[in-house]
Amino acid sequence: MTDLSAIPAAAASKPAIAPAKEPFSRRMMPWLLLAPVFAVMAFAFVAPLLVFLEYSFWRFEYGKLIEDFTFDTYVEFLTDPYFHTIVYDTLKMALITTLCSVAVGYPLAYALWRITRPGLQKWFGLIIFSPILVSVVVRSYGWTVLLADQGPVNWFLQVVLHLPEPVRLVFNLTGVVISLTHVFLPFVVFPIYSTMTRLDPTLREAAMDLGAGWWTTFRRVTFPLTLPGLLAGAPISFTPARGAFVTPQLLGGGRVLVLPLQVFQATTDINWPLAAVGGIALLVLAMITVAVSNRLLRYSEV
Amino acid sequence: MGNMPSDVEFTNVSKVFGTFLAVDDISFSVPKGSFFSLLGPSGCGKTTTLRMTSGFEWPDAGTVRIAGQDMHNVAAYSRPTNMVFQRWALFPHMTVAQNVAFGLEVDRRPREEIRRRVAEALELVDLLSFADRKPRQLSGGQMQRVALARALVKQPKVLLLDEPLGALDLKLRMQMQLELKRIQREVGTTFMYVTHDQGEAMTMSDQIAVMNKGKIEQLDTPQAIYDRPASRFVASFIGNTNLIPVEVVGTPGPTARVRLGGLEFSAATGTAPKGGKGTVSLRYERIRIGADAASRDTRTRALVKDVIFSGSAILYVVALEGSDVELTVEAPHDGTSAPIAKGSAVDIGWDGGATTLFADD
Repeated sequence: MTDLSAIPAAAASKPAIAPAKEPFSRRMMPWLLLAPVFAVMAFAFVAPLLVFLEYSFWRFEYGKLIEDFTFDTYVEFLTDPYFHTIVYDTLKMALITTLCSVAVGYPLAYALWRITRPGLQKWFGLIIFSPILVSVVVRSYGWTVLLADQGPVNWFLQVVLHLPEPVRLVFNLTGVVISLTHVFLPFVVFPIYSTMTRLDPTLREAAMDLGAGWWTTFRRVTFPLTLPGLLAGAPISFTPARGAFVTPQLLGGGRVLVLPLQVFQATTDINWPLAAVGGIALLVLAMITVAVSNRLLRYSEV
Repeated sequence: MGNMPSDVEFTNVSKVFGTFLAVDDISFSVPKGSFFSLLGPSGCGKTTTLRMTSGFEWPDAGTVRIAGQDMHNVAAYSRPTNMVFQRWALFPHMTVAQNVAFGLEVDRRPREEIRRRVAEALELVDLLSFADRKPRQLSGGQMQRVALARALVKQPKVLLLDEPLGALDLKLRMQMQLELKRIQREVGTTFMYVTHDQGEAMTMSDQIAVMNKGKIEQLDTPQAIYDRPASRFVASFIGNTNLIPVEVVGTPGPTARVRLGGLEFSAATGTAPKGGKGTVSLRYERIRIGADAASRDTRTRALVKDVIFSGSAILYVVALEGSDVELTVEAPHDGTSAPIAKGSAVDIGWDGGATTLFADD
């Protein structure tokens, strides 16, 4: 390594050779391919975002919009405990959903990985993937039926486990979390599963060979090495959960007020400034999520 | 060898994968403290045999004993064996020291003892100064030595090595062969080594089991296997040999008279040929060429068809006079004499002990 420093000096004494440039058409190719995406992004994402940003500085008074430049809506959003509760509930819903997805998803991914029969594995994968195939409205009503006070889950709890009263499972946070976990599960399972399949199988054999049983092998080798998959999957659940609208609307029964619902309410009141600030808050939360998960991912990688 | 203490003993062991018979009724025993190699081409069952020793595979018939104990129902993690894997299988998220300590931590050894033994093991493989590195910061040769230290630190009865040098380049491989042999002598542990590289097996082993199609074709010392191959397969797999189709004259005993074109000579009988035809194995370097051929038991004239210079030796491809049989001859290159020119006619010859007769497959 030490004599590497001598090489640039030797190279410098020779006439400088500039690296050959790729032909123009080839250099333009990637940009050409990206152009449609850029166009769509500019039209459908950046432009509305700028419009929303403008709205957020307007004023809403007595049911009327006033073009202005004021931070009043921001101040209101940041100081009013009503909005604090909404942000808190949003984060709580997203966090619990993510934890549940990971808690259910990791063992599921592990099982999928350990199934050695390819046919069985295919069916298993399809079952995990199935929530995505069902429309969000249908799925939500399905859960309403299942989790209702007279539904099969409560029947089981009361008749088999002899609970004295039905447990409230819908029209509150519990129902929303159950349904969201159900739909985000595949997004959590597949990143974890893919890190597992990329894991060198001889590492587990090496651990066992060195005297580790199943649990020690899992705890000290498999889990730390699949943690990046888990940390990649978690924000995939957290970010859409934070922005979920239909599920909290249908399964929350009006008791779960999260940011997307607040934004929707504001738009129906034509309170555009408040809707804009709520939307920007959602965006900021998403950015924080991405930043935090990237940081965690970097620590977890070997 | 029946009453010698053996560390590994296979008795009539078979293993099937689906319908493929990977290991076919093999029996052998590895003497304590020896360097034992399983040698054969890929798919011959050598790795399966090793994995049955380590406990990663279970025999479908027969018994495996390690240090006198039946390993039936003993899981991999409870066996007194440790393995050096083909691609070393170091834990990428742990440092060198953590890798080596892993096995001792699992055994819940006292911290002070772990520290001491890890240091000793790293010392043995000359990697003490690399203790805090991660595997990805190491070269192939260094990773190989970490894998060795990680296995040896547990003081196994038997160390299993699954082609550990396969991924290294040639120079490093030669160096590691001598290093492995030194370490084996130093620690005195029984080494069970799997390889497809006959040179590697020759260099290091006390004993070699040559495997083919799930069976052990020959189990002996490297020299005995080289000099007296028990089968046509062993003769062709170990070293470089000419396999010459011959006619057998008369009934073969310990030696047989064979005829090759107009040439008649004696060969030791390896496996008894059937129906008057057989194959004679004649090693490249046992054939003499030029003036050196004069005093040999069998002599003939031949035409040099090709000359290949390979550094320490010169290979001649020669065609025998009176038959269209081609032989390859390896002559040492002493740096003084010029090689025999292509197209010239030469004398070649060999002694009776140089040839072995086998039945045709």
